[in-house]
Amino acid sequence: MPCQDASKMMSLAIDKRLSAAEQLEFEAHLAECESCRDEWAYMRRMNALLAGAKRVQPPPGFTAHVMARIQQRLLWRSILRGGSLVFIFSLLVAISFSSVVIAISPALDPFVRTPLLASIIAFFERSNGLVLTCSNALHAILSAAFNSNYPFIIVGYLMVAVVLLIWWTRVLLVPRLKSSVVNQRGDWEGQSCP
Amino acid sequence: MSAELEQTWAQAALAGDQDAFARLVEAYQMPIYNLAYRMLGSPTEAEDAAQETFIRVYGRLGSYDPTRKFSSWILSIASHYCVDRLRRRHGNTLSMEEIMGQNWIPDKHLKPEDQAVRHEERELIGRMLNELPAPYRLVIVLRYWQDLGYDEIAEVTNDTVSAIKSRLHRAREMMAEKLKREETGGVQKQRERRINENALSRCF
Repeated sequence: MPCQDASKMMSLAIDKRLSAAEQLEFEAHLAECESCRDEWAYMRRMNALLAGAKRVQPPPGFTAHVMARIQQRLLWRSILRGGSLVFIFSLLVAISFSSVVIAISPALDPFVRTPLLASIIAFFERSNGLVLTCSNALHAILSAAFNSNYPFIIVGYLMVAVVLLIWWTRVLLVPRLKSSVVNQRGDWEGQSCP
Repeated sequence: MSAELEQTWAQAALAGDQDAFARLVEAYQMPIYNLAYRMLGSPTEAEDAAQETFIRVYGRLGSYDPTRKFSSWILSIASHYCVDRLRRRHGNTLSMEEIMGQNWIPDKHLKPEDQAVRHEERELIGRMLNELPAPYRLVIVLRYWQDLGYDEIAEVTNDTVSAIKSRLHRAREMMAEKLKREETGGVQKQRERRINENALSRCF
């Protein structure tokens, strides 16, 4: 048997998948060929090393992490799909809410402040005032940013508005959406396989 | 774990029961984490890859074919992800730090000197695996750490049994060659060190 054939048999020999006849042929070749014997010795050492390697334990809390990541994906999906209506509505509410803060800023141009204040008052009188308030608020924010005499004060008030917006999203919007995604239990920590 | 139970869990998870999916994760975390760990070589990367695998499994539950073995399906998702990740990695090799950091968890039942031997073996295995291109590494990992037969490996990687046979053979050859290089190199290094020590002792 040529050495090349013997070499090709080695992997099968390790897995004990040679037929009895092949096994005999293989052993006969090893008995007479030193270089193949040498190769076979390294093959067997390599096999013993790998076969003796232990499995490692996954880190604790693995399942809980996976489930938390799945929750997060589902949350974003629901914001992008079904939750978009809720999201737009809360964005409108957030803008008009922060516009109250901007409206009381002393640096704001009175020509912008007056319609904004008027629309805020109108909002509490009529329900369709929300959209009107929003458009006036956006106008106020833009004009404040570009042609105000006191841009620094306006920037400060805008930051207050942004903080309020973040607060609105994190404290009110996200838990609301989450509760619609999670069914019953949200905690998988410590659950084990029966 | 029985195949029927897995099927029930998979069906329940698909219907929106997340507890059922959590049970599947619990049952498969060990094989999937070990596959990722041996493929990628670092515990932190393995954790991330194993988590990503389960997220993919969750997303694809709808396309699972119940006539197929669940374990083969989930292992094939993990395998594809790990091979992709290895290919995306620059140069397809591990950094020295990653090989050294091969999850050195001391075994309390062993004596310190045995622990040191284990540590060396682990590093050697890491260097040997590191020799292999991704598809070769995959068949080795499936054979040794998942205990799969040739036909099962073929099912996971979507190849023929004869292709698996030759790939496994080539992978083993490469690893045995590496082992030989390591050992003969090691002997040479020892000899060099002895010569240097002798030279030093003659100087002083």
